[in-house]
Amino acid sequence: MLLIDMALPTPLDRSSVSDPRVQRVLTAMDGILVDHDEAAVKRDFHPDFVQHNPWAKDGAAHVKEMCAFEFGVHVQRYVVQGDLVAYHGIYTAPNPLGDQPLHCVDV
Amino acid sequence: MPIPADAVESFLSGGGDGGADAAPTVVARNAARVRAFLEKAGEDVLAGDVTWHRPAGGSVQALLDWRSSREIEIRRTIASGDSVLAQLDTHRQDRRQVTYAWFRPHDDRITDVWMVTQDFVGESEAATRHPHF
Repeated sequence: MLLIDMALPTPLDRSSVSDPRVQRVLTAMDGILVDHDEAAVKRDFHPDFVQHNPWAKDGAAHVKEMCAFEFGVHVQRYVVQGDLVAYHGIYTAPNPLGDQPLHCVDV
Repeated sequence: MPIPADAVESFLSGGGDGGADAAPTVVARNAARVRAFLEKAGEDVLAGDVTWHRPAGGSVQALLDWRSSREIEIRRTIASGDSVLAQLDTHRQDRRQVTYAWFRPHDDRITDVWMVTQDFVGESEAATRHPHF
């Protein structure tokens, strides 16, 4: 069973986000997972992007590869402090780990 | 962490607004309350009706049990609005995990908790040279 269309809690209202740091992060993630736009990756990610997800590779080149992924992200809430932004949500299914959504926090 | 469809709402439910208008003193106090819980397992920082957003639910006692059953190193906190995120390096018996614990304090008491946990992956196994931290 694919869970892309399952009922989810109402996500974060992007129009309510006024902090430019958060807007930049959400725009960058949309570039990968919504727009699948490699040009957006070049715009939003440093070439030497440091990846801390242990299963993903360093560098913007790998982020570009993620543009081919078919799953999306459902952001529910965020925090922002100094030069750090984090969001909590799920990666919708299917995704690289199967047909169940992935509970995630990304910093 | 893969989650079944009927559990998604449970994991995502509740409020928490990192963009809420909050005085810096309140944001700092919220972060301090979260640290107090993580460092001391103090019952007094949890609201009596605290909600742990997961299918199994969770009470004050469940959170105290979670806290007391592992060693926790706070690697960073990020706080804004009414929310605080803590990135934790935890050890329980021989199992090392990384937990992202998301808290919503209100009036000096933690009212909501969300957690995402993954097993620690060392540099020799990871695809990146900087796993987790």
